[in-house]
Amino acid sequence: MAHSPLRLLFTSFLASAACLAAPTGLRIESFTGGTGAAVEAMVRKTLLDTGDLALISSGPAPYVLTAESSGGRLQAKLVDANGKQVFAESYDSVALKDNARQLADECVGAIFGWPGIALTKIAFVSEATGRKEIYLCDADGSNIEQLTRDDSSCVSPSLRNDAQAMLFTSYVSGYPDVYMLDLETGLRKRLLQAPGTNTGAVFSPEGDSLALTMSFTGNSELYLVAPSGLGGRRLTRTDAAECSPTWSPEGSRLLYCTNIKAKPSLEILDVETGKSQKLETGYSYNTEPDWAPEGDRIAFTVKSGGELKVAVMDFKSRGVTIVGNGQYPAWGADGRHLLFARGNELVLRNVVAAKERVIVNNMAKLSEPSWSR
Amino acid sequence: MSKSSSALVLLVGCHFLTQCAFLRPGMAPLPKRDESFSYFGPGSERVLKGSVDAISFSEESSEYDPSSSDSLESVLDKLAEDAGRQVLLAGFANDSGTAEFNRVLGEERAQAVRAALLGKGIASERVHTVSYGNELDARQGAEGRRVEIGIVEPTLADE
Repeated sequence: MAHSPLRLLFTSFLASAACLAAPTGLRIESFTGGTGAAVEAMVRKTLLDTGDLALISSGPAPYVLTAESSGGRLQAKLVDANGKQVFAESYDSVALKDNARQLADECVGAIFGWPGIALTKIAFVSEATGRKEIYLCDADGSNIEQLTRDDSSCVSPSLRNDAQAMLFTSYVSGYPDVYMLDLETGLRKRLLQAPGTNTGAVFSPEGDSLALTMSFTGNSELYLVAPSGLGGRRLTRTDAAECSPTWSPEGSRLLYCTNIKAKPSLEILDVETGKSQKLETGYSYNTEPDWAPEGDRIAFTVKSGGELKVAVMDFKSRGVTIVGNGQYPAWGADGRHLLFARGNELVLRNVVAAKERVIVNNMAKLSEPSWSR
Repeated sequence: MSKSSSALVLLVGCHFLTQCAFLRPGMAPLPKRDESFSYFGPGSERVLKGSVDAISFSEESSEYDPSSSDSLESVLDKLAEDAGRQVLLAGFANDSGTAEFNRVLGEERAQAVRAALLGKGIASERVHTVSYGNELDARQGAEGRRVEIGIVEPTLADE
């Protein structure tokens, strides 16, 4: 979900303070109750997967978690080193794992101040059927569900931040058109079918507008469109081709790729004034940008030595760091995790803790992941 | 005006206003394409492929090779033979880049060929574009960087 600028500033401050310190420790006391052991195992795994917490097996700890899980009800309490209560909550989800994930995210939020990622969703493209289709999974790569069966090419998925709707491009009509899929009802609607190419649609942070590429004027330009797909406003007027827009966290600017003389570059556009500014990265091939939730960094794909690599730019220093081989980076809600595709793998990397895990593989070539926040 | 036709005007007017209410200030209605034919997909049987050689491009570029002038001449000849004919230009990119950029690059390539045909006096409504990027009939290396030319024959309804 979108956050207020004050909260973002606060989160950013906490994040920078926390990354200087050693990993914060948490001791989890054995969960009681009939389903306690199962839920405890899930909470431990989810917290370890964040890469930010050290789980302490015995003795003093900065934080101690106790819980009881009976049937589908989980009651938990977190205290600090002085025994002072940090929170006490109960969870009643349909699935035990959702109770565990809610508790894990609550711990992350209480200890670090940034949002947890355990309850977020990921959409991605796989060629497992021989055609490109879109799939949905949980943030740990489990619970994979096939969303499209067009037997054509379904690409460019983009989840709304509440993970209740997804935009994507399908070639099922023979042309690239933008569709919206309601993930609650399963109903889909074709939103855009202008002459030429319609692709790369992304929801604004509040979900009330879409930005995308259309080419019906004879040149690929960025447009702002209502979620109904009925009306549009042109955002760029250039001889170059613009694509892959990504919103700034507050929703006032767009970062995108523009192909200038066979060199894809990055630019930032102010949606209100229509003015854009080039972002120098030091690379001649820059595509697929994604703006971090705190607004302080961007991730994108560069071509270096003939290989595609994931890069991160820090806005303050303008320094660019190569994260590793891969493409299509997407930031998680916490601004610490980057999701990207590397051949047949989806990789989740904590870029602050420098730890990575493969969350999906064995599904042929994977591409274009989108991550709800 | 009769009572029933007044009711109809009111009904149509209300429907129009309801549709417009979805549009926000500054947003214009968007055009829709003719879908009676496509390169891959519904109506592809109306599109004659391969009768003109594909036009090739350099890496990441939408400037076609000078050697493509024979293909352009050939398209112009085919359009001159029958005023009912149209052309569908299908742009492609190879797999050396990222997917979304390739889709837009394929469109840029198709639009470059379209501009050349319009420059030779072909009416814009006879020239259509589509980009497959690195989708569907994707090919590697230099062979991937191309615009394929589909000749759309008129239907009986067009004549």
